[in-house]
Parts: sequence; structure tokens; C-alpha cells
Amino acid sequence: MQENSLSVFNFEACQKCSICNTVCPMMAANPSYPGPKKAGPDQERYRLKDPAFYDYALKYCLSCKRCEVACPSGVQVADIIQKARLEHAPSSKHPMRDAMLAHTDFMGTLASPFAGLVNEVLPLRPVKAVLDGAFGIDARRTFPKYSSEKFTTWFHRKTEKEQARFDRFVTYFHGCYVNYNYPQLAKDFVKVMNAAGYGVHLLEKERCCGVALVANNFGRQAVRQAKVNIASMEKAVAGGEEVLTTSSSCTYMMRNDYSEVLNLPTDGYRDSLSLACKWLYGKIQSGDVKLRFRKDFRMKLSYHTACHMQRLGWQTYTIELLKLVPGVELTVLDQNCCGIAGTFGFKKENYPYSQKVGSVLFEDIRRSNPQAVVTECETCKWQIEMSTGIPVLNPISVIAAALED
Amino acid sequence: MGGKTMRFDTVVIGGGRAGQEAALTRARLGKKVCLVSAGLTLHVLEPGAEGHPYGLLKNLADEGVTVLRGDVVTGGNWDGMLLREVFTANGVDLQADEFVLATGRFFSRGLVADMNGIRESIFGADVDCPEDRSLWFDSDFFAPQPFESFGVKTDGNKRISIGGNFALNVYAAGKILGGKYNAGK
Amino acid sequence: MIKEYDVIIVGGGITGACTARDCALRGLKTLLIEREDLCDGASGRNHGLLHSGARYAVNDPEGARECIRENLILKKIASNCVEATGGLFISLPEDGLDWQAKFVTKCREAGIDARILDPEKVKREVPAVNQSIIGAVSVPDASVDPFRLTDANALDAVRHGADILKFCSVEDFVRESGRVVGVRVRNAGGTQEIRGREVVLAAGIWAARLAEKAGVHISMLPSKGSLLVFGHRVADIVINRCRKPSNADIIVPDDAVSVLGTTSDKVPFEDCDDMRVTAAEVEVLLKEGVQLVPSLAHTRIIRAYAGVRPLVSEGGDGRSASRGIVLLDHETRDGVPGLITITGGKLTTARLMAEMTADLVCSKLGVNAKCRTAQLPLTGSETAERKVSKVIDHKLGNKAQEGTLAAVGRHGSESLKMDFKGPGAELVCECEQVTRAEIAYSIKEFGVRNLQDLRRHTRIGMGTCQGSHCVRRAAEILAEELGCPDRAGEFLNDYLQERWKGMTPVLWGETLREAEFMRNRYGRKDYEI
Repeated sequence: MQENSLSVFNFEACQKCSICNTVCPMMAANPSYPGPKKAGPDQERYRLKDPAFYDYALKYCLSCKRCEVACPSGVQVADIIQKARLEHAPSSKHPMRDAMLAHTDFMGTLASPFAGLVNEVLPLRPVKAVLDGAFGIDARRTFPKYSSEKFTTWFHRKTEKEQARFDRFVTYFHGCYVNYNYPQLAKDFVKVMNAAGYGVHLLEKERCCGVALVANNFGRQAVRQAKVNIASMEKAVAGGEEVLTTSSSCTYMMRNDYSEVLNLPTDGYRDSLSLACKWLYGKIQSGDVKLRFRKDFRMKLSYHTACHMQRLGWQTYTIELLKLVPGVELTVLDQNCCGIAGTFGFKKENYPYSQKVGSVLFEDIRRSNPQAVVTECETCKWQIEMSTGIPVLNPISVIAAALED
Repeated sequence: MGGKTMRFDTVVIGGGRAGQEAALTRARLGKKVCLVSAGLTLHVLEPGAEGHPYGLLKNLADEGVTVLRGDVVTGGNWDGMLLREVFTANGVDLQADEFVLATGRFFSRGLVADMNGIRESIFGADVDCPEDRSLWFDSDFFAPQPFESFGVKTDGNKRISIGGNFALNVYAAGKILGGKYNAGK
Repeated sequence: MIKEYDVIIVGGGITGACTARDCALRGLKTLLIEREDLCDGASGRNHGLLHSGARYAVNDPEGARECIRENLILKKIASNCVEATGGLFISLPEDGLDWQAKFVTKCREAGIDARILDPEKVKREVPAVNQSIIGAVSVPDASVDPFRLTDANALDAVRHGADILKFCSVEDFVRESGRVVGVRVRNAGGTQEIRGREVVLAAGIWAARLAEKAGVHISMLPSKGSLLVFGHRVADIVINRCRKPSNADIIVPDDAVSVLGTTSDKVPFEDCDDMRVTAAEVEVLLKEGVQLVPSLAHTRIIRAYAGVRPLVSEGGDGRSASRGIVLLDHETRDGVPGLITITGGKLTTARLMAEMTADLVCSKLGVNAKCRTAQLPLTGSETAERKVSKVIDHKLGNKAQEGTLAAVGRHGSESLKMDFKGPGAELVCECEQVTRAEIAYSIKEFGVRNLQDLRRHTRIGMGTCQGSHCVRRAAEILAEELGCPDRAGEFLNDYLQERWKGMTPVLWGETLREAEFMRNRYGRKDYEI
């Protein structure tokens, strides 16, 4: 008895040391946000008594999970807040907008066939004004461009057959952003894996991981999509393949939040789901894989640890991997939040907080003066590119560029 | 599962003052060091280390120490009394020649107490403390508290013992050493 | 202060406060004297359970009937002190269902709405409950905050003309030709005599010692009851064991915590002023408590405390001695006119005890006035909580302002007097959501001396961290509000020592971590503020 105390997301372990508050980027930017300590473990006790204690200001939580990294007591502060929002948040003032932002794959499916038009139209001032006024999407925000050819289309048409020549395979979870907006990253991934001697399979069925759905309180839809992904990942793992991704947020969602926030089983794939860089580093270390790099490759890079990457705790693998690439001059930036937090920064009411939160990071980036910033998170990429004008690359793209042809 | 093992000369477990000092000393001797810290900072329990919100961890990175933040060691692989590698909650495996146990006392969970006793949290190392929990405290809040002097048993080289046998390559540092030396600190 | 009161009530617990209110409402010139703060003794050291009477239905039908009557009255007049959680009586396999059948029959005879439930349904709806239950009965048990209830009665007494003298101990009685005509009291200002036509002892277990001073012997049996406070609500409903009353067979949701109790052990009178929970009691409580709610085995225990039941003894152990109401007219019983003792009883029946006492006082004084305490809502409960919180939201123009909802929960319509704007908006105790506005109000209304007093009226420092987060700030604010900034350190140290007493019996796990943290921050007495 009493060997350990258990509570939902370990909220009882909170010692009220308040270290989480000191690392919360939103608390510093927005005084009306109560901060992780209060919003999480403190108010949770009163929410258990009466849901009326739900504080509307919880909508400002970025879910960056820095509080969880900082907590010396292992309290899953951000999960407590996320669950409270799923259970108690009042309905949105911009239901249409939130649905659009949250359903990334649905929007992608709509936009891709008209990518040219959409990319032309979205940046136009009148269109932005309409989005801003009617939908609450901030006019100052730059939209990620939609690609005219989805990655999956390219994959099936151009490379699927070619993959069959390998005798070992990894399964790739590409994610919405790669599929609809940035197929180049996926092409880089295929290039790197092939160079490592592995063929690439896709999941039997892939849906958006659901991180944006959860953040916008579409819990039930998130569960539906998660179940599809879980079944596909279990199948891939049962077939002896590891599931690799290039996005830290998708990975965190599927590795941790599927079980912890959505209460779904993850045992069937959890240990075999990895970020491509972590997997690659391990393979190189164990001697399984040897990559040959160009001799003339030179690049000055700054590594930004995305918040969810920090929570995964795997940035060390990426950093060590990049150090193996000859010609890379790498600065590791202090871990700070870029402020976009997925869909948060797109919302008109959040835009100023979003930019204020990111300002520390933007300044660090400018000071380090890189040719490109490297990070595993696609939304960090939009935010940093928009706010600093410096290009942002996924580390896999850096590896691909440095490979000997 | 491949793809998660990293190799170091020394793995320091615990990012408090003692752990940071142990890591820094070895890094300056040219060793490849990894430090695992449960949080981001150390100034919660050690007011003297205020200032930069990351305490000394930032300086450690500058000295070439690999720092795993927000991660905890959950267990290890032993070869007799030789510790080969440790595992973390985030799924990172760390191999090293020597390990430093600097996980502190109760607050930082180096020691864990339940109503029946006190144990060392990672390896179940032998702990020097009375069984009777009424002897753990003084009823005067302001008096020195017995629990503040509890720690692991060690040999002359500060190596921990497990079930009466001393580990060959695991050294205790800081508050988890216990004893009057540390009481009240 | 006036020269002569109609009635002097000694003891500022729930019984005394209720009696003061009743007497004041009947137009008597009333004085309530308390040696410490209101609700300092047994009134503040119990379950916070508003009995439905079901617990007593089998062994004490009269007590059961009293309870259900009072239960229904308090839900009406003390809406902001009572949370109508409902209660369950669960049967485990080893209990069998024989006792349940008897229990339900007896409950119904006493007028208690006891309903046999489908245990499968209960397991689904109250997932915390032991899943091996074979039976469950619902009863109208509720959670009541004894601090709020005592405060509300005291405030109402004052509003109807009563005086309250706190931090003032009764040294002796003033006697004139055998008759008690007043009391001699001592407080910080020295001693003085206060005259009263009737003196009522409502001092719980301490009444026995006081009565001796008037040459009256009351045979009382101090019975220690220990309880454990768990860090959060494990269930939203009171859970009892459906069997003969025994140790640790009730768990009550109180505010944001759960309270498990009790034990029952005879203790010497000398111990009554400083009750400490022993390791053995903690073990008994836990062992039995997990039978009700298994997750208690893994729930943080933030504190242990104990109170003394003022049982009037007719031999036997604490549990079988009468827990009924004992009203003693010492004029007829002992030939000491002017002195009355009210004791025994329960938190739930305090209003009834007061009514019986005030009836006796009035008959002695020849006053013909009816009791109105069962009809008039208490201070703070005049307006529904939700309405009050809406008014506050409207004034602040801000939904769910930190701490305001908690203040409304604790003080009902009284919270309309708090100024949540400006400096008042500062949230001081973050566990229990106490704002500076609530602190300022409590200092003004209750004559708070120190942080322990402030805690009783606000819940400050009663949450998970037992004050380690907020006590320093709270001490600063209290010292500032009282106009004695140099005393902040003293407030801080005294409060920590008092919290320590409750933490040490459960000093393991998260609570030991908190203790180390607390010691690190405040372990030196010379801590500078």
C-alpha cells in the first residue's frame, strides 16, 4: 500500500515548485493565461469537484509541453490541460475556421487538385481580408503552399516499383504536410533510405495523426483517425518493419498522446515507431548502414529543437547525426518555442501572442546567421520562415543534399 | 530494438549541482559525457543556482556534455556488479564505462519512501536509514530532520552497493550520499 | 460589550455558534465566548459529513430521526455550506447482505430515503468504489463544511445583536448564593467579570473540566477520532460500509479533497488539547479505507488529524457510548441554578441542540419566543450560489476569474462583499484558490489573529502543498492587513509548525517530497521576509 501515488497524468505529484511557470512561453507573453501550474494540477482538483471551475483561458495553452520537460515530478501538465479542454471547453466562436485548420488532410485533399489556384489566391489581400474577417484567420499569416502533386501520387506513380528491388524495408508515415504541401521532404526521405539500403513502404492506410484535431477539441474525430493509423502501424510492425516519420509532432502524438490523451492501445507499435534521424543514427552507430557523403558539401546550419522534439527527448540523435555530415557547421540553438503551436498561431486572436512567444527564438536564429535552420517540425518551419525569412529544412533533407550521387 | 543506443565514457544520472559538477569535471578531462536530467533546471531545490533559467545545463552543453533534459533513467543492464548500460523513460539506451548516481534525495526522487520503507529509486541500492518511519522526522519542523541525512551505502570510493555487494563502476555523488555531511543542505 | 447578558454561551464550536444564533434570533442579549478561534476544537476536526441518519438507523433510531430532520433543514438553510453529494452504503462479500436488509428497514422506519441499488450500476457510475461490492444502498448523506457552517451561524448571531468574544478563556464562574451569575474571563487584556442571567456550557469535551469549577460533575469520555485527508476527490459521493459501525468506514468528498475516517479510542483528558495521529492509526485507516475505495492505496495523503468526541459516558467503549444529545439543566440536576450544559450530539444535529438549549434558556428567563433557525437561511445562503457567481462575473466583466468561484463556494452571497478588483484579484493560495479579496474579507469579519485562524475561514494552505507554495506571501499579506509588518516571520513559523504536525504521521511518498521542499525553503527560523 502507498508504494507510489497514482493519479490521472500524475497531477498529485505536483509539489507546487512552479518551475513549469518559468518555462511556459505563453505565460510570459499573455498575462491572462494562468500558467501551467494553475491550469494543470491546481485547477484539476477543483474541476473534479465542479466543471464550472474550467477556466476559459486554458485555450491559450500552446501544448508545447515545455512544462512537462521541466517538471521534476513527472507531472504531465500539458496533458491535464488538453484533457480538460476536450472535456470542458465551450464551443468555439469560429467553428468553421477551427474545423478547417484542424482537418488538415481533408483540406489538403480539397486544395491539392487546385494547388496553383489556391496558392495564387490565398496570399491575395482581398482573400486574406475575407479569411480574417469572416473566419478569424489572421491576415498577416503566410500560408504554406499546396503542392499540385501529392506525395502519395508521386510515390505510386514514380517509385513504388523501384522500391521492390530492396530486401529490407522501413514503413514511412509521411503526414499531411508532406503529402499536400511539401512532397520534396518525402522524396528526400526515400532517397536517404534507399542510400542506406532500405526500401520504403507506405502504411496500408494513413490518416492525419490528429494532433490538430485534439488541439481544436475534435476528440472523437481524432480517435477515429488514430484507430486507422494504429491498425496500419501494427500491421507494418507485425511484418517486421519499423515505422519512421519525419515530423516530431506526428511522432509524439502517435507515440504518447494516442494512449495518454485518447486512451487507445499503442503497445503493438510504440517501440517500433521512430523518427528517421534517430533510426538512422542507430543504424550508422551499429555499423548496419554506411552513408557516403559529398566531399564538397558546405552548409552553416542552426538546429532548432522543436518543442515536441524536446518532449520526445530525441534531438541528441539528430544533432549527433548532423555532426557526422562533413561540411556541416552546426549551431544548436537554446530550446525555445517558435509560438505557432500548430494551428494556434493561425487564429486571429492568437497572432500577437504567437509572434511574441517566438521573438526570443527569432532573435537567436538571426544572431546565429545560418544558411538554413534545421528542425523536425513542419509548423515551426512555416513560422520561422515567415518571421525570419531564413529557409528551414528537415534534417533528412540536409542528409539527402549531402549524399554522394 | 536497434537505433537507440548511444555510447559514452561516463553517464551522469541526475542534473542537480552534484551531477553537473561530476559531468563538468569529467568533460574537462576530455571524456565523452552524457548527463540525464529529470528537468530543465536545478534552482528549484538549490536557490544558489538561480540566474539563467537552465542553471548550468547550458554551460555543460558548451563544454561538450550531451544533456538529456526531461528524461529519467529507469533501469540498467548489469554484468555481475558491472553496469553496462542504462535505459531512459524516453527510450534512450546509454552505454558507458562508468556511471555517476547523483539523483539526490526525496524531492528529486533519488530516494523513494512508502509507508513501509525507503529505497533507492533506480537500482535498488542499499540505503542507510531506520525502518521505523516514526524515526524519519523530528516533531519540531525547524529542527534538523533525520530524513535529510538518509542516503545510499557506499565503499571508500563512494561506489554504491546492492544487496551487500559493491558495484564496480557506479559512484554516488551529492545528496544521495547521505550522512551528516549532507544534512540540512 | 454590555454589562449583563441574558445568556452567555461558552464554547465557539458549532454547538455554541448555533446556540448563539438561536438565542439572538429570539431577542436575547447574547454573548459567545471562545478561548481560541471559532471552530478550533472537535467542530473543525471531523469528517465534514452531513449525516442522513442512516449510519445510526440500526443502533440509535432516535439519533437517526434527528439526523434526517436536520439534514433536510440544513440543505435548505445552509445551501452554501452543504453539498448534496448523496451517500452510498456498500456491502462487500464478507459483509453479506443480511445487515443491508435490516439497515434498509430501519432507515425507512426513521424516515430516511434509503434505496437498494443494482451493484452493477453503482460500479459503472462510481468507478472509484470497490468493484467487488455485492450490494449498495443510496441515502441522502451530504458533505458539509464545518468551518463555513460555524462561521455562518456566528455571523448571523452577530447580525441579530449577539456579541462574540474570541481568544478569551473562562477562568471561573461568578457565583452569588449558589447561583451562577456570570463568568470570569481572561484574555490578552487581563481578566474581567461578565454577568449573564444564564450560562450555557457548549465546550465539547472541555465542558467537563469547566463544570467542575461550579462543583458539577459530568461523566464524560473523551473519544479520539483520527482521519486522513487525501489530495483530491476520489469520488463525488459519500461512501459508507454497510455493516455495524467500525473503524474507517466512511469517506467523504470535502471541497477538493477526500476525508477518510474515523478511528475511535479512549484518550485521557490531558491529551485533548494536543491530539496527534499515531502510525498505528494511520495503518488501520488505510487498511480499512482501501476496502471502500481501492485507489486510496495509491492516492497522496496530504495530512492526518484527530478530534475528540464529547461522549457522555455510561461505561463501555467510545463507539457504544451514547452519541445522543445531552442537555443538562444543572439547576434541577445538581442544584446549581444559572448553569446549563449542552453536549454530545453531532455536527449534523447542532442546530437541534441549539434549539433545545435556547428553549430551556427561554423558559428559565421567562421569555416566550419561538425558534426560527429552521426556517431562516443562514448568512451567505440567502441567495443561490450560481446567482451570486453570476453577479460577480458581471461586475468583473470576466468569466471565471481566478478564485472568485471558489470564494462564492465558500462564502455564498457574503462574497459579494469582497473586492476582487485591483490588489484583491491576487491569487494567494493556488491549491485552494484563495484570493487576497477573500483574505481581506475574512480578516475584517472574523477578527483573524494569525494564519491558522485565516485558514479556518478561507482554506488557505489546506491543499496539496500544505502551504509550501503560498505561506510566505500569505504571512506578508496578513501582517500588512493587520498593520504589523514585523510579525510576518512569526506567522510563517507558527503556521509551518502547525502544518508539520499533520504531515508527519503520513511522511512518505509525495508528502515526504513536499516536506523536503518545505524544509529547504523555510527550514531556518530566521527566514527573512
